[in-house]
Amino acid sequence: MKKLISGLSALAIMAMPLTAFADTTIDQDTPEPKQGEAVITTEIAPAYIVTIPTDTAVKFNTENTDFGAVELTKAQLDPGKAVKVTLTTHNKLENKADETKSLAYTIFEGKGEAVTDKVFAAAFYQAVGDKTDLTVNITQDDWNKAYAGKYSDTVTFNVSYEDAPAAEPEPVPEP
Amino acid sequence: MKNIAVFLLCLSMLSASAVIAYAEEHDANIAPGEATIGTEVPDSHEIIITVKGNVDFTLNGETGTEFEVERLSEPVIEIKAKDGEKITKVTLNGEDITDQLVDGKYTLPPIYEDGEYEIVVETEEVPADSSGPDSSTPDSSETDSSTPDSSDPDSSKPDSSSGGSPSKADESSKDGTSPVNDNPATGVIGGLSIGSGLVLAALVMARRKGKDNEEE
Repeated sequence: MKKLISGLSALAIMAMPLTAFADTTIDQDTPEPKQGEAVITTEIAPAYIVTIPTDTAVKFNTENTDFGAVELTKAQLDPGKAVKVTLTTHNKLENKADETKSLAYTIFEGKGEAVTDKVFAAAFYQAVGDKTDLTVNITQDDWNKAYAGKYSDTVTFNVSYEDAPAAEPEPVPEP
Repeated sequence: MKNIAVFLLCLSMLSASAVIAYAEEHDANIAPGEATIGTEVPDSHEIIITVKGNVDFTLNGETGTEFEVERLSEPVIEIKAKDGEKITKVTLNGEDITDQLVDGKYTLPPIYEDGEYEIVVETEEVPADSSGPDSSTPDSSETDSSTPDSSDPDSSKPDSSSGGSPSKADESSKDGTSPVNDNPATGVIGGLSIGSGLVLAALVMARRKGKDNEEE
């Protein structure tokens, strides 16, 4: 029994090297100045919450439909880090009754009157409140050619924790 | 004292394991999210057709002004003028489609949404004398009735009477043969003259035989 306890003790001491080396003793033999330093460290794991769009029903014959937004609603990120959100789509709504028939669509950045012609594919977010509004666009020409029936497609938002992209250099004003 | 040492050692080992577990949990937080985009395209559309003009109108054989048609179908409208009238011009939402009417029928482009159409039809009365074929042509008994220009005012030109079909005399002259006399009286007279000639010749022959007999 004593041997067992001794073995465990030795093992425990080996498992706690930091504790042993962290202690600093200062006594009469310590050269001047008699000072000791202690570094206090801690680690906060990165945490974030990204809000992504919910299921959306597009009204028939509507070119632009609000698709909500991708938004960083909570962020405790390491310096130089960012949350990256990428979007995977099929770019076409599939007819549920006939898979050969589809209705093309595009997800643009912006919404309402401020919708742009920039297709959303990926974005980096670093601060709470950073967001990208999204719009589902179906052209009138595609509506006009669409066969009757119900259509749908599932899009996937992939979220990852990555190095923040390098800031774009500010344009140098011309003299 | 030994028991306390053992307890503390075990505690320290447990705390070291907890850090690793937390790190794994953080990795697991990276997960995709999904959203579904859906829509529904109707299988039929309602169209309203307003017809201006004194005509009979049907769409796909049905009368009325409001119709429910299958999506992307191409309905056929049919316009018929009233008796004694004919259609001179048809517009669809302002576009002239007169030339596209075939037997009074016109096929609409594929219907992909609800909509309204306005058809304006212009007609005019058909003159009564031209209702029957060639009936208005005064020389119809002498001209070919199948001649399309028989009712044409230009048909009164000098050459128009013989322009439809050439006469037999003209045909024979073209063939280089002599003309055929169609007058039946000419044949009778000719027959009579030949007969009388034969009778005279027979009388002369009879007289000559009589003289020969007397001389003998």
